[in-house]
Amino acid sequence: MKDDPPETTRRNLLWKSVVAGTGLGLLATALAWARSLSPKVLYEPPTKRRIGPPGRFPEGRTFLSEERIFVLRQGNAYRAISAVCTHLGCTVGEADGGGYHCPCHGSFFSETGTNEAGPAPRPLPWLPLTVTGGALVVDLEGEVGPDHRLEVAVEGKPQ
Amino acid sequence: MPRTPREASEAVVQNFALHAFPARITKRALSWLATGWLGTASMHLFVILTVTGLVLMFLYVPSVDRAYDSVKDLQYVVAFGSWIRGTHRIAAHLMVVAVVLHLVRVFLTGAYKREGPPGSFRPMNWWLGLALLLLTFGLSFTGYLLPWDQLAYWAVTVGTQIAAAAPLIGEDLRGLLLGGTTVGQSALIRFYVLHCFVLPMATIFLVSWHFWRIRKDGGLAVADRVGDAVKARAKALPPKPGKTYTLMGSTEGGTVQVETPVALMEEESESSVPHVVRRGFVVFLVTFALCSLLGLLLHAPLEEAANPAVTPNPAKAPWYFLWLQELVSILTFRIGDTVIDGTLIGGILLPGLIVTVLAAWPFLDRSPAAAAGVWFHRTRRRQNVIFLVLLLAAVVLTIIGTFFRGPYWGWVWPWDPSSPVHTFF
Ligand code: HEM
Ligand code: FES
Repeated sequence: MKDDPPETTRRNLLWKSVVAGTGLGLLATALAWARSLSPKVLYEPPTKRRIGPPGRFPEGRTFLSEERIFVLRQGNAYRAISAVCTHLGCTVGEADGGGYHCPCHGSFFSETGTNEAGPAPRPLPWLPLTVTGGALVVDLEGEVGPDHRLEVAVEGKPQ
Repeated sequence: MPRTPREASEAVVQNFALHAFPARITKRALSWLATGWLGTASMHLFVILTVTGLVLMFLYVPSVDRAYDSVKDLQYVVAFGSWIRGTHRIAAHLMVVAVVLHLVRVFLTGAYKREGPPGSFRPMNWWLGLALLLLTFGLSFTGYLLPWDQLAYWAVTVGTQIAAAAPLIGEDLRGLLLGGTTVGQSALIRFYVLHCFVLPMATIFLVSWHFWRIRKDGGLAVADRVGDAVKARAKALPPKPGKTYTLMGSTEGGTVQVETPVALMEEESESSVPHVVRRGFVVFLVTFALCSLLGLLLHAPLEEAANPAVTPNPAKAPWYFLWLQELVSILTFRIGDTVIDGTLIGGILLPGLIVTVLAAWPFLDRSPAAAAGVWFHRTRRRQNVIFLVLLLAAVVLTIIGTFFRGPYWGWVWPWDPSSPVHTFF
């Protein structure tokens, strides 16, 4: 008798299915609840932003605090570089004599965005610029090479 | 004194102190020097935090538009608001200190050791304690964001970015914590719920378990040898009124518990009520007076409102994480053009390793039973020295990070005008 497999009676089959069903139900419910914690929609600022007409920017570097980028203008050529440090996400500042300096752990990036000193693992990315309806649009998620330039003919002289 | 068995058992059930503690407690476990009563102080700090936190909850608004202003109101407008906020903040700092010192005392006395009275298993309490340590850090860190000022915003930006450095799950972990990709409203409400509900509830649960385990483990390790000595002397004595229920006279005859050595060693012990209760109360008064006074004298900082565009220079983590931030910066170096990023090592792997080694320590420690509950037992000399050296290193790194790091994480002397030490508290 001892070695016989335990007999499956109607009663204990029923019991097992009740346990299994309850367990599965609880598990599914728990997973659904947990899933609610990862948002389907992010109410965050858009990653493509209009940053104003090209004429707004003076020659040289301009910091846009809202977007956390620098816009660089040389005559009719525009470029945009991210000001978010590639180390842990602090906002970098302009270093004296060109380049960028991060206040958090002292990373230094050259004028081309190359990470030259400190813990930053990657260069600062250059961001794609386009023109839409007379305004410059920057794509904060995109990345282009350091030589990418947007040529826009601007009426009047650069300030 | 109760007159009937019914009154006796009611007295026991109705009096929390009578069944939270054993009826009698060894004089050694009662001593100030054996434990420093640091665990008790940690618990009292948690109680103070709960009560002051409850008051703060009535006045704080967890929204990015209102959070900073409501804290500012608390600080400058609400009657005694800055005192309540200061007390909460200093109690939080002191709790980190007390819990760490409690761990240090448990380690140095070998009170986590497997060898104990029959049926005891002290490593369990060591593990519960480690979980409580992590909870304490979690409570402090989630609370740090709530004022929504520059200090808060950037400490959390950097802190969660470190979490993102964890292999595989890092990005998801950060996303789950923040409820998005940046520190914004979803992050604030998540930190708020964690800080005010989830983590305190978990702490209450684990602390209760921790206390219950002390009794399951036959009391504190420091009392083990009292029991041994008594057992050696003990002959078959009649049961003594040594347990809660026998104290009230509701049990006649012996049970296993009543006949434990504890019941035999009256001259080595005191009755818990009032002795434990009295000392616990003294600890509470000292802890409370300290928090209340410091809360009045030191002002909890409130900087400008959070501004994602401008990073304060330098941006520092809360002080109890500065040794890690310091390690992150030391461990980051470059060989040619490749950067060895210290974030993963200093921010994830090392803390993980420390917790793992601590958790395994009761099984790596091969010292004899006689070393349990004894300060600096000679058989544990080497491990105590290593432990203290590592602890000292962490303390030194914390001091450097706090007082000697200025703009761009460069070295500054604390008396230098550019030193940011004023943001310490
Ligand atoms: C919220 C945090 C904590 C609270 C409220 C707490 C509370 C206590 C209390 C009241 C005691 C009685 C003895 C004493 O006061 O020293 C105790 C003992 C103990 N604690 Fe904690 N504790 C906490 C965290 C920790 C940590 C971080 C550890 C270590 C990882 C730990 C490990 C232990 C052990 C092993 C004992 C038994 C000690 C012995 O037998 O001598 N606890 N705890
Ligand atoms: S965040 Fe820029 S160096 Fe660390």
